Amino acid sequence: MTEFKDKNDNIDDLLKKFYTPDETRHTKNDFASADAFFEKFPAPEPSQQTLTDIKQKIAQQLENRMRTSWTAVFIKTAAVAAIVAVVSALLLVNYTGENPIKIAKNKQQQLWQSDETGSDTDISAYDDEIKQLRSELLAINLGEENGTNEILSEQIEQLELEIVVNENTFWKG
Amino acid sequence: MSSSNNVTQIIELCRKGRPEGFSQLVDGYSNRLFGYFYRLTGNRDDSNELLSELFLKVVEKIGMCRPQTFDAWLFKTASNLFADYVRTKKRREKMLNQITKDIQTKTQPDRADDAITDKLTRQLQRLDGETAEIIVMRYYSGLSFEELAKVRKEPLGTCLSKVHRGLKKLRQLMENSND
Repeated sequence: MTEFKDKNDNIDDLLKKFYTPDETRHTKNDFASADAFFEKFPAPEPSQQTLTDIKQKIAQQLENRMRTSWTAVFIKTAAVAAIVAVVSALLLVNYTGENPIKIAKNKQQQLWQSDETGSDTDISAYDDEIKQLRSELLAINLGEENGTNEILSEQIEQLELEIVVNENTFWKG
Repeated sequence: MSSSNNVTQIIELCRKGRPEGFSQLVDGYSNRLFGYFYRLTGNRDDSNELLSELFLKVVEKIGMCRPQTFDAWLFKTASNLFADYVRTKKRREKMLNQITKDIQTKTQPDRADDAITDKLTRQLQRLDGETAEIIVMRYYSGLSFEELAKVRKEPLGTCLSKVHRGLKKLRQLMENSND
């Protein structure tokens, strides 16, 4: 049997808000007679077969939904796994592979902080030789040896030539 | 459906996808919903179809309702479904006007008990659609006027006045009817 009871209504209070006391009384009568009609002529009820059919359809729909949701879970998992695999592969390549920017930076650092001091040693050797030659030349000029001697003057020339050669070689690197 | 706690528990079951939850919903609400559809369509087959369609919609959208206002949500969904039914019916009528007339004649309830029961349904159908629907919803949903006004998105006074005018008219029709 269908229930026609008001759920949370307090009809009296509600009607008083909108109607005069006289209107409220009439309205309540109208409501009561309508209630009586609905009780006198009850609506038919759905057949048991209809309810069974509905329950079967619901069960079928739930089953389909469950199947679809498992498929969705599988697809999502596969997609996530694929993304993880791609990202891992990219990270691995970056880790093991040579990054051009990194290489350039390293080269620069190597250049400035390298152990290649060979060129510096060469320069200091040339420098020492030049100093020695200069001091020898100075000694000759100061007459520590006889500068008028022809052989000696040749030696001086030779020495000066060596200095020039040395200096050229030095600046050419 | 007796208590709101009970409804909440049933809805929780339904949300977990448990068929027994939906089974309880069908058992608890079928009569009222069938009555609602039957009063508006005047046809058992259509009411059965609408009832079935409604419960399948409930399965689909159970996650969207709040257990506290489940009845209101359910009857709002039923109302929307009925509106779709009316639109489809009107379209069909336009397309097959003559044939539909025959179908309407044939689908008049032909059972003897329906002839008695249907007096109210016939008079309800003489009211305009909106008035009939608000009266039927008021009686079969068991919603309070406040809830009804919310479902219909109308002010409380408007809702109350519509029901009252409709019931007055229905009373006249019932009293003047020779059925």
